[in-house]
Amino acid sequence: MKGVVFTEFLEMVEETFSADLVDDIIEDSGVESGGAYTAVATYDHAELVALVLALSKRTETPVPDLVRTFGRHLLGRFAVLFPDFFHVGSAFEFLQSIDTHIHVEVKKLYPDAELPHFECRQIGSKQLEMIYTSKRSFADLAYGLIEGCGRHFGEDLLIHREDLVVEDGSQVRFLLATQSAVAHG
Amino acid sequence: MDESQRYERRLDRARRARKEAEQLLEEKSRELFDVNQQLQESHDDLERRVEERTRELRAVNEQLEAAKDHALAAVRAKSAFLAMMSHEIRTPMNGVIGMTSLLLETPLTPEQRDFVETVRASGDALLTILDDILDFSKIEAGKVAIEVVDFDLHTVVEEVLGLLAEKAEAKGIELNARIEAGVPEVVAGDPGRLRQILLNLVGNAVKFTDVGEVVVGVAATSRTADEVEIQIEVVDTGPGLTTEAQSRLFQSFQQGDDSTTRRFGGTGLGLAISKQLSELMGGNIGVISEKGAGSTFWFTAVLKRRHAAPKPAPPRQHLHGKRVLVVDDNETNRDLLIHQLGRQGMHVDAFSGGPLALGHVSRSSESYDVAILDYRMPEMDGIELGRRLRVELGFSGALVLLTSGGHRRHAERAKEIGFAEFLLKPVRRHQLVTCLEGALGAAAASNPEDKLSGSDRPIEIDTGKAVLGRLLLVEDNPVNQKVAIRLLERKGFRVDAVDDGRAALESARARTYDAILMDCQMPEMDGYDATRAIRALPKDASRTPVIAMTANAMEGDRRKCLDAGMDDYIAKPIRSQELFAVLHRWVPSSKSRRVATP
Repeated sequence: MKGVVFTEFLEMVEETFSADLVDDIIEDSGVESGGAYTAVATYDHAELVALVLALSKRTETPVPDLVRTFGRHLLGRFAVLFPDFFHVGSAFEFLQSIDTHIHVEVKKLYPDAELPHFECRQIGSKQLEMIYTSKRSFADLAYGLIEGCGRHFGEDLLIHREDLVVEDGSQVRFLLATQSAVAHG
Repeated sequence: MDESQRYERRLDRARRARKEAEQLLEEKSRELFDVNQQLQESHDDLERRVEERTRELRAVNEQLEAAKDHALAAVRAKSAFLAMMSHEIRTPMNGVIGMTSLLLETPLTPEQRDFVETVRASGDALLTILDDILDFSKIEAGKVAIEVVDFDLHTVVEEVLGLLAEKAEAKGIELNARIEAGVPEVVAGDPGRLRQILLNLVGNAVKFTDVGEVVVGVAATSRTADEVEIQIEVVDTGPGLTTEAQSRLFQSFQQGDDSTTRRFGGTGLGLAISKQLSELMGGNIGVISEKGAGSTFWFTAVLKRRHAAPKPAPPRQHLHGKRVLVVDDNETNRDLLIHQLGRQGMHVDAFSGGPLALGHVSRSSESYDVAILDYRMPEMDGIELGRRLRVELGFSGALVLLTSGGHRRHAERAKEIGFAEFLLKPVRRHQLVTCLEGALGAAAASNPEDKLSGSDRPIEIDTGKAVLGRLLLVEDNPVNQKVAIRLLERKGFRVDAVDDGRAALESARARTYDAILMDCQMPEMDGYDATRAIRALPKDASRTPVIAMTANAMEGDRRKCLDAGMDDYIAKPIRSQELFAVLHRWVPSSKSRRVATP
């Protein structure tokens, strides 16, 4: 997993709670890197899982909620760090560009990066079906990212999540609808 | 964990993260450097290959350039060779054809006459082939310029038909032209080249058609206010062509099929020349045909309109409103007559055969002013029909017999029955009008010019011995000199002959001639220089008409001759009719003066 996810995660913890809590969860989780993350390196995704678990214990908040919250936060940060990817007109347009454009660009810089897939299918003008496929179970992170995306483009997205059963990794079907579509439906 | 411990750990984390980042950066830099190095190498390699390829291409280009120069030189050499051959062959041909003509005027047994006629026909055929080859090489070399002069389009078409009428008649096929109403008469373009294409297409059609008819159709479409596109089609009922043969037809040295060469001869250049000429005139050429179903050859040409051209003659008043009976089994011919007569404001009733016409006339209360009857019809010939109209039905109108010529032996019979006029096919407008006026006894009232200007009238060749004038013949080739002297003396001219331009100048200084016939290529002083020198002589001597004779059948030669101060031009080999026609023009006495031979 890219180091930027770790650095952003720890910064979020520091801003939301405190610098001390960052020290604590690093200590609690006993991650191999010792929490010395740099955005340009790559780390074992298990370290993030361990850090989230430690945070969950300390704050007595369920892991999925924490991960979704981080997803929302991370999207806002991405918009600041990589503004070029956000020159699109709508949330749907952005989400559809993840597989076709953003991850293509990421692969150019990091040929070894293992990236999740977001297969999109537009249903009419108001609905979008997204199939998230990953070797890791970070569907909650994806959920939060989608929510953050709606917020970034100022759109009220209605998100329906459906976990699909697969042998390997995880696959989740997100059905997104813009609010006006709901009003019509 | 106390405060200082926490800070120490944070500092340590930050330091380690920084070092890791620096290490990564270094690795990336190294990678970039390596990749850059590889790029540079492959770039250098590419450049080397481009250079190599460029060198190869340049070498190939040079070879191509050399091959092109070589080919162009070869083409030029071929053209020059053809022109030279044409000249070289024409000179002895002049002797062959001239002497044969003279031979034909001596007493010969029928067998000898036949042999000599064959020799002359072969000579003529050889010249046609030479002209074709020369024409083709000139077009190929881009040396053909299309003239723009005013001419009568209808006359050109009629002349071509007139030239081939005899051949068509001999084969027993009908030859007609149908010029549509919108086709302008006077236009500007190249009448010679137009005639050449038409003569080729109609000549072929007549040559290959054994039964039926050949019809020439002329139509016109306006292109702009100043230009008109004419479409001419030649429809025959000949054997037709396979699709494969059609595709090869307009290429040089190709004919319908190989047996054509054996059966009909020819260079196979006629259509290729026609194609190039029609393209030079802004048009196109093509054929629509099916094996066994006849062919339609067509071509188009863009001509300039002549707005100032005289309006076509208005319908003749004395023909206007007259009733005509037309009987001809050939539908095209019938349509044509209906069309032409209709233009004169005449009322026409046309029938396809004698019995039908007789039936109609016997029942009809109307009377006809004139009847035009085709001689050759299957059920009843025109003379018989005329007789029955006159004798059985008391037909009182004038009778006109439509023939294809060559029926002179029927003329007596026709006259006895009371035919007033004969009309030769293909029918020309002026002839038709003149003939009908004659038949209707209105000739006196007509414009006398029409009768005089009939260009189809053969030039009267005077066979009586008389001194028609004194000529100076300048010709270096002894055979040609002999031919010309004999031709001219037989005709009644007195001839002085010299071998070169210098001698000609001396003779012209010494006495006044009625005309000088001047060869162009001669040793010592050529015809052009000699003419210029003659023009510089004092008084009358400088005004003697000079007529060029040249074997260089090149178009530009005429211009060159006129520029040198010559008055007229005839191409070798010299044909007696042409020679005398030119002499009539420049030696007026040859027409009027009749002096007994000393």
